[in-house]
Amino acid sequence: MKSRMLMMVLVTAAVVLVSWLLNSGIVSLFVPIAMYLAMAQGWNLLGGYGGYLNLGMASFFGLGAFGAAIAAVNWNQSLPVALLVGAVVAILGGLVMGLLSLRLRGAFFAIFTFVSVFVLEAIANTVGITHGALGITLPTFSSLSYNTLTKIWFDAFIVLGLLATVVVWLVERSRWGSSLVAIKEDEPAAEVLGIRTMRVKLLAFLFAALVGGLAGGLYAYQQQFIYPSTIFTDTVTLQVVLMAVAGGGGSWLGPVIGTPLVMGISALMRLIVGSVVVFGNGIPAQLELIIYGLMLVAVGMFLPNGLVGLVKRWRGRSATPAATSERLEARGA
Amino acid sequence: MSEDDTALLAVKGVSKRFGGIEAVRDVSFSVARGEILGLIGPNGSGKTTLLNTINGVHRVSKGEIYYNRQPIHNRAPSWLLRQGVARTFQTPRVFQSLSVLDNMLLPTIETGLRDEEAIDRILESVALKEKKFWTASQLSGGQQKLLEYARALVSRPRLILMDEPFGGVHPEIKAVMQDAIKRASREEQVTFLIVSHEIPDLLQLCHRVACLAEGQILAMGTAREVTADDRVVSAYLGRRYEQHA
Ligand SMILES: Nc1ncnc2c1ncn2[C@@H]1O[C@H](COP(=O)(O)OP(=O)(O)OP(=O)(O)O)[C@@H](O)[C@H]1O
Ligand SMILES: [Mg+2]
Repeated sequence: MKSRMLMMVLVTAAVVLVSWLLNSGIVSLFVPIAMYLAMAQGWNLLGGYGGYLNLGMASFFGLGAFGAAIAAVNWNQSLPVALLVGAVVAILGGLVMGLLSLRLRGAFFAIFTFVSVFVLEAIANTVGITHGALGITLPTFSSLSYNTLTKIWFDAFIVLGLLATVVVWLVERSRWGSSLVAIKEDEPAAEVLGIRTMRVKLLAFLFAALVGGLAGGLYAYQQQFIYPSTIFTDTVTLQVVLMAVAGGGGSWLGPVIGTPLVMGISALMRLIVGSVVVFGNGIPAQLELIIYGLMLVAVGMFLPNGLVGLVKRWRGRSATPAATSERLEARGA
Repeated sequence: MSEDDTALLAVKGVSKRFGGIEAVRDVSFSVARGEILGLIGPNGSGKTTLLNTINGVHRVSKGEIYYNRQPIHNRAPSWLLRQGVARTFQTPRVFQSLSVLDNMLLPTIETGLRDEEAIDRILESVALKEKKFWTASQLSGGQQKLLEYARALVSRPRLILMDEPFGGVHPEIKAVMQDAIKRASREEQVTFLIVSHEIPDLLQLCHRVACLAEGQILAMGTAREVTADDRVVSAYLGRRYEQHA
């Protein structure tokens, strides 16, 4: 356990170190991967282990982004305070959403969280504090070069992503992880076994809110400029879910594999599709969403447990005969 | 002292309806500390529904339930487990993707009674100790039933509600389970409410038996009395049971 922790710290340190040795053009390609790794792990606890399809990651992301931006611009707060405000806003949002929706099973929870994104977008577009549809411009760090900033943002996102990964890894090995799996399999039976299912689900949901909110706050600073329609968008949600489930939801390794994979494929697709101009520019931009949708359907059909599940199944297949003979032996056959 | 003061569980005028169906109708009875009460009755007579109202899976439509003289109707099942009420299901509901051990550890999350030696002893008694690290999905149907029984013991409950615990279980292991139930009742005053269609088992295991028919208690008394009751014979048994031993 301690040695694994040490390893994780070393991995993080190594990744950060490498980012400073590389060309910032290359590092900039990895900034979104690091950000989405964090979000996919944040989603993973309730969505992957607990089996509650949370389609509201964009809500947490947006609450974090606007919370941080408002603190920074309207209230003149420093970056750490602004990030904290963003995280707190996201958690409060998660608390309200969770208390309202976590009693709803299956499709209702998914729809509730999905709709929350549009509701929040509409609110952000109308209220004064977010500057409405005009968006918010954040303070710049003019003393730092673009290259340096790129590396700083990458490091911030990757530290968040790896921290979230560690948390998920720890939960997977704890009884808390078992209780999430129990909720996914048979929630009433989990309740009969003494698990306070509502509390467990709410905590997992709040973890998603915390990580999503921090990622959103960092994103606002990194982008310098945010509007409701680019932040509260189902593209963000869809990407997060796709990355987690393609790699394997309910496994700490899933998002680690899925995030770079999906990012890579979608970059490739954009390269191919984006060069085909159909009716002006509008259609290729929409195509991105279609591609994510199709990928999600494909994963659902062919990789229900993600790549991690596929590998486990292969390993399991070769292991089965041994297990069977062991069972026969035990029975004295 | 009236019966209710010594009773661990008292069910008072409980009804449960699902839309037009009244699955349990105005049922009242109490179970003494350390008692083993059998519950028999035809399919669909409301036995499972009665267990579900006692441990909070269903809200009661009418009536009250007391455990340790505390009202418990409509409390959450997880709360009841912490108070010492455990439960097994008619078809086993073990968590397929968790290991046998992880299944056993689930009830300890909230109760804090994590005692691996005790867990090993319980698993040993139902011949599952060697399979501690198997995933539950690798167990046979009967073994899953035993795992569920074993898991119900982990939280050291004071009242155990069991729904068909003996169906499909090997006679030798069934005997072990029944010995364990008798011993827990005698030595530790653990109370059992056991739903079963296995009349011979209940005859030698239970202090009292209640027969449910169409949601109502038709007869209640010693196993001998109930199985000799004409209404029980005609509504459920179809014939008289001879008392062996
Ligand atoms: N969740 C439910 N919704 C609607 N009706 C139900 C529900 N659960 C049980 N019932 C009805 O209540 C009645 C009693 O069912 P219950 O399962 O309690 O019977 P049982 O005595 O356990 O039967 P068996 O011996 O077959 O297990 C049945 O008519 C059943 O259809
Ligand atoms: Mg039943």
